[in-house]
Amino acid sequence: MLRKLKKLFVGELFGIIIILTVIITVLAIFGEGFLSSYNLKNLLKTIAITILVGLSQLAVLSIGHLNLALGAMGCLAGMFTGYLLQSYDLPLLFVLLGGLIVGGLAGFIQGVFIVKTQINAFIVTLSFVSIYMGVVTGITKGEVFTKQPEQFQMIDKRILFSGLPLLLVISCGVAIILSIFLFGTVFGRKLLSTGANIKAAAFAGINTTLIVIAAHVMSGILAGAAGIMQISRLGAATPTIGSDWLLISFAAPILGGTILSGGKVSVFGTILGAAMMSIIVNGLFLLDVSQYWFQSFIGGILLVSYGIDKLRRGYMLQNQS
Amino acid sequence: MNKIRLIIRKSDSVGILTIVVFICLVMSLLKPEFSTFVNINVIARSISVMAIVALAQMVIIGMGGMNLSVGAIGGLVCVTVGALMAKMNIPIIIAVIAGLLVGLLCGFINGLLINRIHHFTNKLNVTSFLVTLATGSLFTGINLGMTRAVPIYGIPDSFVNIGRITIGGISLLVYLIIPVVLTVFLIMSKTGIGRQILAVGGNSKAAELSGISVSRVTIFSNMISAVLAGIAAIIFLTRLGSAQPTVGSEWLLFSFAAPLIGGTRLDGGQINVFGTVLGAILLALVANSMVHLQVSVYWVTFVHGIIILAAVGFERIRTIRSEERKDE
Repeated sequence: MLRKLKKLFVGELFGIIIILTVIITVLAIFGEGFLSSYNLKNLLKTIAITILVGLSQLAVLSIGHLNLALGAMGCLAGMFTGYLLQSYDLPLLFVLLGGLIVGGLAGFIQGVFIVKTQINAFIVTLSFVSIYMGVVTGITKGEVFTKQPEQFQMIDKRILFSGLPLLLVISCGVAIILSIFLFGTVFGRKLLSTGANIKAAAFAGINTTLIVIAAHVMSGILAGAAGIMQISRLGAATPTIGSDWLLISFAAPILGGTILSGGKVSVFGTILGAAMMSIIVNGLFLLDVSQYWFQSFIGGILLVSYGIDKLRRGYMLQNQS
Repeated sequence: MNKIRLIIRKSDSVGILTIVVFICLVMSLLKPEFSTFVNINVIARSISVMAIVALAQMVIIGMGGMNLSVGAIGGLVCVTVGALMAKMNIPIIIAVIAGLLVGLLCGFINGLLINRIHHFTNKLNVTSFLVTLATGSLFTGINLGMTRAVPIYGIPDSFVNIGRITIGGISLLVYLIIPVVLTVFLIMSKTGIGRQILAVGGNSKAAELSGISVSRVTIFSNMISAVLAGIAAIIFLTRLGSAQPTVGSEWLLFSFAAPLIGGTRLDGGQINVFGTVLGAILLALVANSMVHLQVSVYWVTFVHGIIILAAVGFERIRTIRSEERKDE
């Protein structure tokens, strides 16, 4: 019986759910205004965007790469969407697709570059941050797009089922689709295999080139989606979008059980991780902690999650023997 | 065979040197303002900080890891030294030493955490990436939390004046780089610990098996890296005249670009100290030239990204070619 309980405990998601419940309870009691509809609404919208950012990073973590440029990609897509909304009168669907395509294109270029030059993904994506941000600021010259038609603003404002923001529903929907894709389709399986061991995957006949590019395209599209959501929320398209995404893009998946070594991926865990991060930040805000300490908290939480992961793995190894 | 290897290795630096000289010549012809003392000083002062930042990263790359917290450590040291001097009227020497100790502490924390969290199935650079990503945030958070993002003014004049001394028309700070660079070079090439760092970078498992304590090397190299970041921050402080909490926030890309351009291998085990410095000079020259050529500020970032990719691309071609030569 104890053994079974221990096995449950080792199940990563169980741990996070417990911690999450504890945090929410504490905040409900001590945090002033935590349970107010205004706060919850905002919190859920923030979580929605954080989920997409986390999933964007997850897409490349699944093949053992990382995408440092997802903030820049989100910015590119967001600014492009904002530009379209401001300057032309196009059907909403076109505009949204346009933004997502820009994100996907950015990921495509990056993926192709990585595959063709075989240069370390870290360096390539680090450089592409500069490249894409340079493109954004170079073209727009720091301009901000503020005109957004009513329909577009409704993406942010729409609340379904008397409580769930549309943004959150979209994010969860995307997460479900991604989950089905990764674990249910052949292509998804090939992706995970490539992540686990790229050489073995190549020997097994998987077109690893295609897989790598596809992963980066997915990351770009997801980042683009997050960028579009962000500009809807802000009501304006500014070049600062995505500038603070890097840390949370790693924190969400890692807190949720994914690790950089590749092969092990958890979409639901990423959702929980995103939720945990956003709730903690929200909690710090409500507890009157100076906003300047937020970053150190996130860093600290990240370190704790590494420690937990190490303990977990040690535990699992012990149990195997 | 060894002679050929030596020439190839020397040619790494020769390539960059040529480009550097080329840029200098072209720019002085195109824009006379380029070769004025004022401009040379501007470039030199920028290099005096960034070259050391580049070295800070180079040491960790040589060990096979990455240090994403160089900027954060720099910022923290900067505000610490600034606060000690301005708010608590502590003598300059003591404040500087305290700042460097803060740097050492940060580096120690980095190394310690990397050791604790490192799992044998991961690669070392993955662990150092994760840890320094988190500690970078932690240090920046502490920095901002203490200063509330407010710059610290009131740095004593005697300190700021150090930044104003010129010898032969060139700022003293530039001459300060020389002992730092030489020290790093000597440590990495002549001392036992330097060789151990490179051995771990080359193949950490083999290093461990041959008796090198990877955990000790990790801590030591991270401390060196952090101290260098601290030195860079202090030099920057003399230039700036006030302690800005944002110091270091732009250092990351540069800290990788300069070593890679200079021939340091990202996989670890092979570094090039003078190449790194040349890389820093090259990047500073490019940035400066673009200002003179009136390229929009916004495109400068873009160009930086392209340069890094080009540099790493060339390095890969070089590696592939030298491997082909080995097979011959």
